[in-house]
Amino acid sequence: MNGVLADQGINYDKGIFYSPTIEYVDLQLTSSPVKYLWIDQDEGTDQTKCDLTSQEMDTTKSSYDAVVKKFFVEKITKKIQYLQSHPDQFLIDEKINQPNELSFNYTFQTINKLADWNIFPDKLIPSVEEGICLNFKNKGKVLYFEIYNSGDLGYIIEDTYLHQTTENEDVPSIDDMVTKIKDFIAV
Amino acid sequence: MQKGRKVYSPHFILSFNYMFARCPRNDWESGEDYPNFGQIRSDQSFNWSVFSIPLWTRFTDAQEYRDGYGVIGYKVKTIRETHIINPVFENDTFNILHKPLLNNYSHCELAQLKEVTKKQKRDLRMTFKHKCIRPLYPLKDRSKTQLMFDYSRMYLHRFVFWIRIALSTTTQE
Repeated sequence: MNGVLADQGINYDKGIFYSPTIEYVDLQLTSSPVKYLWIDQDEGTDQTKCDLTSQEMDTTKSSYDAVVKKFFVEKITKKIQYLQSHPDQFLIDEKINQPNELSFNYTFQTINKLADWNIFPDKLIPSVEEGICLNFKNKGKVLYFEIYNSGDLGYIIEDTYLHQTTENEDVPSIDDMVTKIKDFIAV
Repeated sequence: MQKGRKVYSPHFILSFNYMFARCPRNDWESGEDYPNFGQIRSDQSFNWSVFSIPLWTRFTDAQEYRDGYGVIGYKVKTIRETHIINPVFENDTFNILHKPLLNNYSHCELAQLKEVTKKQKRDLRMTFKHKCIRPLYPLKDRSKTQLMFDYSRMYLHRFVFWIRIALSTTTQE
C-alpha cells in the first residue's frame, strides 16, 4: 500500500525518524497540491484508488491524516519497545542505568501528544544521562528534549550554524514541553 | 596495566593534553553530525593522551574492543576553562583526576568541584560537543598515517610530561 500525501502542511521537512528511507510511503509534492489524502492500493493486479475525502485537510483539526500519524506512531512505538527489550550495550559497558519505565512512559506520552500535530522526532536515543533523548530539527536548529529516569524534563536548543546554545531550560510537565516543541517547529 | 605505578596529581595534567572518551553509535549514519548531544556525558571518564592514543579508548574496562564506538577528545584546557567558554559556570567548577584502573593506566575522571544542576550539565555537554575533536567515528578505523600521528602525539605529550615531572622534582630538592 502506498500512501500519497498531497499537502505540504505536514512536517516532513523537519527530518525523518531514525531511518533514511520510509518504507511504503512516497511523498509527492506537486505544483498545485490537492488538499486531500488518497491511498493507492496496488495489492494484486487490481489497482484501485481510494479517495479519502473524509481525510480532507483542515488546519483546525488535529488528526487530519490518520494514515501518516499511525505510520510514524507505530514506527516510534516499535523503537521504544525495542529499547525496552534490548538494553543498550554502551550503557552496559559504561555502567549507566538503562532508561526506566517512567522515562519510557513519558516518552510515549510526548510522542502521542506531538503526533496530534504531525510532529515527530528526528531521533529517539537512550541518553547517557539516564533517560531518553528526543531530537527535533528545524531550520538549522536542533531541540534536544531529555526525559530523565528521575522524571525530570529539560531541553536545550543548539544553533548548528553558529555552534551555540540558544535556550536551555528545565520543564515542569509534558504538556509544557509539547507546547515548547510546537513553538519550536512552528518558527 | 596499573601495576603499582604512581597516580599523578592534576598539576601534571597539562592544558594542551587531550582527554579521549568513548561515544556510542546509536542511530548515527555516516555524514551526520557526531556525536549527538544525547551521547555526551557530564559524568565522564577519559583516556589521558600522555598514556593513550584514541584507538585504545575503544577498549572497555573489561578489555573488550568495540569498533562500533566512536572516540572524541577534549583539550584539558577546555574542561578547566569551561567557565570562560560558558559564563554560566563558576571558576574551578571542573577538574580532571588521574584514576588508573587495573587495565587502564591512562584512566582519568572528570571531577565536579561544585554542585552542578541538570540544566548546567546540559550546558556543559553542549560545550563539550562544540569543542571536541573527533579522531574516530563509529565503525571507522585510523589509517597508518593517522596512527603514526597518534603515537607521535602521545610520545610528545609524554616527553613534556616527564620534563614537567623532572622540573618539579628539581624544584622540590
